[in-house]
Amino acid sequence: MTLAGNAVVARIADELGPGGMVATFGLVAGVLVFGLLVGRELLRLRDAPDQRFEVVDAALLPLLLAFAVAVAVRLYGLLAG
Amino acid sequence: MREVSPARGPFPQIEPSPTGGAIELVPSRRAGFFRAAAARGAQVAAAIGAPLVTGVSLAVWAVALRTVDVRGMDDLGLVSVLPPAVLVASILMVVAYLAEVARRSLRSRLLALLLAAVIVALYALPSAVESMPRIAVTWFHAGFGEHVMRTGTVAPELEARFNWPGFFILSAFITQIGGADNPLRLAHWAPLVFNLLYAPALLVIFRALTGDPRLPWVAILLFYLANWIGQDYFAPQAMTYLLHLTVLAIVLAAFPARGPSPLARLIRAVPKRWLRPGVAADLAQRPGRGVPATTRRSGLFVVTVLVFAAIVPSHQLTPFLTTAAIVTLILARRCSLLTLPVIMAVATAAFITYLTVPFLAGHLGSVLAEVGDVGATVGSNVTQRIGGSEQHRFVVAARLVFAVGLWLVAAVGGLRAVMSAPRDWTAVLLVVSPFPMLGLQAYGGELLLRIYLFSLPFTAFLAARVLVGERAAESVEPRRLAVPRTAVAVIAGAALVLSLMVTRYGNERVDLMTPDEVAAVERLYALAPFGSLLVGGAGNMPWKHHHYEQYDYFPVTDEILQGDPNAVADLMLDRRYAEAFLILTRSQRAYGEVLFGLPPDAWPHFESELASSPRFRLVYVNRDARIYQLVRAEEATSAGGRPGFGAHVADGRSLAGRGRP
Repeated sequence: MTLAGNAVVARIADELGPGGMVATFGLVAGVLVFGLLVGRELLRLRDAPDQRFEVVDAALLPLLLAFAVAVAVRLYGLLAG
Repeated sequence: MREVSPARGPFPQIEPSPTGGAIELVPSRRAGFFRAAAARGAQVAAAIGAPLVTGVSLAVWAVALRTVDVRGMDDLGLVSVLPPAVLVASILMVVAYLAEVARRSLRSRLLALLLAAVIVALYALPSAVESMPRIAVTWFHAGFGEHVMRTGTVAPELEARFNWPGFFILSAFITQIGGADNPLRLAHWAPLVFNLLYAPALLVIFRALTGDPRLPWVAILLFYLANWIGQDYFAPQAMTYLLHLTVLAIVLAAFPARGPSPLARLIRAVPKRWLRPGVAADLAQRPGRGVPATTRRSGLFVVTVLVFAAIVPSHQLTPFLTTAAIVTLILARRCSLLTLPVIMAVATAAFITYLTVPFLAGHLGSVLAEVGDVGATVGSNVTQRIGGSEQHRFVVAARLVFAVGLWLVAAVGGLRAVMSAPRDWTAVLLVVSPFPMLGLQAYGGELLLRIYLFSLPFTAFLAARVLVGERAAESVEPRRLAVPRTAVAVIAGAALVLSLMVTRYGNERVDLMTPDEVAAVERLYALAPFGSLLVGGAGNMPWKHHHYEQYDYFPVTDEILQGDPNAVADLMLDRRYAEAFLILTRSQRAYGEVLFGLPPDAWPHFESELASSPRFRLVYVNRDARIYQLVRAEEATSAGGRPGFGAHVADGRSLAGRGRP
């Protein structure tokens, strides 16, 4: 049981580190959020129609959430490690 | 400072002579002619007086500086060796600038030139009188840049600052394309260059905050007279401060929120007949200038994001302060970019959690431990700084009194800003916006200084409001300053120049790095093979500027304060290092005496203890530095443990000829 627990913890630690799934997905989500937000603001500055914002906002929210979770998990990992 | 208008002035009545060629004055009108000539003279003086006074003062300033002997400085700093001519010339430049601001019609280009002259007089002082880049940290930063130039990479594990390498990479790039071998070449005049670069951004910010054409010029002068913090040397924070001001300038000038602030909306609901005369009209206008076209705004938005993206990897603290300022502007309804803080937060969080791992892995716990401990932060930022020699305590007290005084004057200006129409909370909120950082961490005892710096533009703006006057601040029409107000401004300007010399350059004895110290450090690098342990009496010296990663450095300030050479030798006796050297310099001694109150005879006493210790061998000495090599036990036995070996070393020469290939 302990060995299995340790293995799970080690696996999570691996995924948090460079090249790990959580780290990579979090970074991709962050880059997408950054790009979408900049694009959204540029659209707004050019008085784009409202439908475009709906599409962008629908994509933004889950990505922002994913990025926030990845950041929190990485910070926790750094603190615990 | 009254101008005589040609239309109103008594011009001479000149009549043609009957012969047609010559001109003759009517005797009864001679007095009128002289009055007119005097009036014309006054006009000419008003037109060229300020630039003339500034030009002559600048020349006097430059000539007088040649007589300065920086070695004679005491613990009051640079002001203790400045000739009176330098101070008088600086004051005259400030007075000439204020006289120009007080003119009926503003000449912006001339004002910009006069301001540049004032900045030179105030901020080029140490660079002009010292031959080496000042402030020890400047040398470390040059070392980071040199590391990037030499290795083509960064080394975040070397030092916490290297986890934010933007500035060091940029300095390496500029040095390389300039054909130099070390970023140190950029460092000497950095304070002057950075302060000159701050001016355009500050002017845009102030112009966006007010419709009055005169107030921004007074505010910008106050900023420069109050910027004693000294964070404008060759350092990441100097560059990111410029970028921070640039972001604020773009946002304030190009992205005002549509519609009035919630507060203004509330006031507009009040029936106009209940308001003071003029207030209703004032509410109809927003301070500031026109908004650029849509295309240009898109471009400016992209520039804003890119500038912030340059801040994030360059400095630890600035991204948080810039984001706080933008959030403040949105709350004050002065920024329409509602998603900008989210963009900033995402960029900052991504960089910190992914690219500063070498720093966070060892320090995150201690960083988080300081969160919320405001008492400890204030303690380490204020009370622990009040110490050192008697003169230094005076300097620290002067800084505190000055800061509190400025904040009080700004508070008066802030009250006027929010209590008289058009009510504008923007500057007040921007003064306050950096303060929540106090709850995050102490930042090595420097956070309050940074907060002062980041709120300074708006503190200066509000204080300038008091000097310029409420009516003038509200008006969009050029309005001359009243004579009493001008007199107060001139007296305050002169007092502030003198105050700045004490508060800004009060640590100059510590910050000064002499050519002899630099020569000694170069000799140290020549003597010490790579992998050696280099020990300094303090970290305050011109070292680490090249081959940073090839040595281990260790300051032994506490042991020197105890006056115990054996404690120093024990620390140096680490078998991991083939060689260990101790270097003592003038700047370290100044550091101990000025900041820690080390008695004047303690340093020479420690040096004499070292000279008689069999555990140290003096290998180099000059006027400002000594280098000792640790004598290991086996070496001491074979050499017969001769004490006082170093007594035979001649000035500026080394007995150990072994150097790095």
